[in-house]
Amino acid sequence: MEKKLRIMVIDDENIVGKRLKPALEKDGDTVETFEEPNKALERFGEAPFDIVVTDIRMDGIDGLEVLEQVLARSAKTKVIIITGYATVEVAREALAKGAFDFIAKPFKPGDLRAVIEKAAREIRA
Amino acid sequence: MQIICISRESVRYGRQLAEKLAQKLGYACVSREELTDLATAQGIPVGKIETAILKRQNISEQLALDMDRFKAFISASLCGRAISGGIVYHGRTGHLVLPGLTHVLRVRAIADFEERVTMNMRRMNLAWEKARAYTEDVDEDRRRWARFMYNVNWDNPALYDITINSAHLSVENSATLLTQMAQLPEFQPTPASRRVVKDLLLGTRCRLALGKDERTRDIKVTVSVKDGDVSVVYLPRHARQAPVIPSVLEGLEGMRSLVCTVATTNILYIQERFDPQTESFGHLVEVAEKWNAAVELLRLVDDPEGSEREDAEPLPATGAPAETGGILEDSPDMPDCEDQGCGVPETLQRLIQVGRAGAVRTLVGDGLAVAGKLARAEQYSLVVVGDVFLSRGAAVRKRLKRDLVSLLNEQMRIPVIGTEDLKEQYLFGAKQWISMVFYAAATVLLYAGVFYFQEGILEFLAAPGTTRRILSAVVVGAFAPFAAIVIGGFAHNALKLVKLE
Repeated sequence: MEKKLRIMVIDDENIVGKRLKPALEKDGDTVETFEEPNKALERFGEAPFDIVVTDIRMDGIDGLEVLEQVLARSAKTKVIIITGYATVEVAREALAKGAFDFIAKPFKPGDLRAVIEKAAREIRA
Repeated sequence: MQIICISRESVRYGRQLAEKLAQKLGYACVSREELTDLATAQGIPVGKIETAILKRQNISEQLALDMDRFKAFISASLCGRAISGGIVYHGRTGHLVLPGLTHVLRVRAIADFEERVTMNMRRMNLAWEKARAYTEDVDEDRRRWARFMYNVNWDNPALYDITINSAHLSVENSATLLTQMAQLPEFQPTPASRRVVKDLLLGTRCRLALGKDERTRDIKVTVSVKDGDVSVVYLPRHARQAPVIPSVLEGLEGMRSLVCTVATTNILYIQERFDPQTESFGHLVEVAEKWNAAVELLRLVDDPEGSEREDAEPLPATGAPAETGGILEDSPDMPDCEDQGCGVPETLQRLIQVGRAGAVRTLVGDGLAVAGKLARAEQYSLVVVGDVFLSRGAAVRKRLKRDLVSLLNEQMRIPVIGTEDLKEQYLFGAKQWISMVFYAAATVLLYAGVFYFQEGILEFLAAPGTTRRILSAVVVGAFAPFAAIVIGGFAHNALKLVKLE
């Protein structure tokens, strides 16, 4: 049996976590959602996650900083960036800094699940 | 109302230059970032368009509509600000959303590649190689953007009035140079260009209003404005939604009149598998360009068992970010034809690039059912039938296609032809040259003969006696159709050559 994934979702819009959590838990993975990136990073410090899904534009710490801090603590973690304000410059910067993939809002949970499955295959390989 | 557009390679240099120039001229400075944020906040998924470019995705019909709305938004924002004063815009290719405006000063600001890599390396705290790859990728993405959005080569110097090289010119000196250049008469607004700005603003506001309204957001329209008179042209497949267009556009500032019409120059292209690389597709595009027509793709999936169904390409709800957080409902996707190699996405992409994209739909059924369904559909100017019934044997395929063409011809009462006849019927090639030369020679001989022997002919026609008169009438009656064929053949080819058929 495959090991279940630990997924962290960070977005300062409450509705995003609310909609994504049940959709991602369908596959039996553990999903924790955060609206404040600093609290999410604190939690990550306690126990690393396999996959981090983060928005880019957030108050305080932005998604690119979350990406850097997460990869500095756990190089194995796959970071997926989600944002409504994507530009090729920002997306390329995220990928250059080690993001696993990039999804522009609006998207369907199924789109994110497909990227997570791809990331999971790499983690388990 | 002066407009200066800076297409920048280095965002930092472009911004500094635009701000300095705006300061010197006392104009407003507008950045692409500012406008994309505003567009996104209004529900235009700019990020989706950018991601499609980054991930080399095919353009779906929905994405094409989003691109259209985004272009309208940028155009409306620039025109709206330009009406109240001069503006300096810095972004990618802002001037391309201002068609017909001849007084726009178009500036390209380039920067030394190595310098940009160093800057990116420092800004993003990346290793040299990664910063270099980032810079190359971003440049390529921007080139693709220009191709995707406007079908132009971003590097083409003909797109710009002047190129500024930041490696040789400081921001201050570049701004001074452009300030002087902006004083030239070529870049001054005229009463005519002011009218164009107003019409452009009204047209793009119409497009945005239609894109925002739930009832009309999926309608593919072409909006044109002349002195406040608005014309909205929609595709035949949107005839049911079209009646609400006037109520959506009602009360728009500056609109004097509104006319909504269905596009009459639509070409329906029926095929089982599309390939934008084929010669026949090239001919089709040529005809569409000649007629200024949109091409609607109909993928005909043969069903020998005779079951019949129809699917329009799905247009998922864009979703207002504030309500959904940008997370849509999961819904079963339409069967994707990409894996089956149907070629629809590639063909649609090509049509979008040349500005000829119409709708896309799929019909499943046999020839009779399809003919019946199309006969009930709205009007087209031409139906072109390509390779269909591919699972059948060559002889059966040929017969079924011939039957389909003949059925459609009979029921739709418009020209229906096979792709193989397209060139001969509507384009001018070697065969048409030979035919025109032949008919031209015959016409010359005809006229020369008539004028050379006119005395004899007149004598023959005026000869007295009932028998001679009857004979004259018979000879003239027999000669007239022959002359008509010869002269008509020449005229038909000549008009086709000058694209006036």
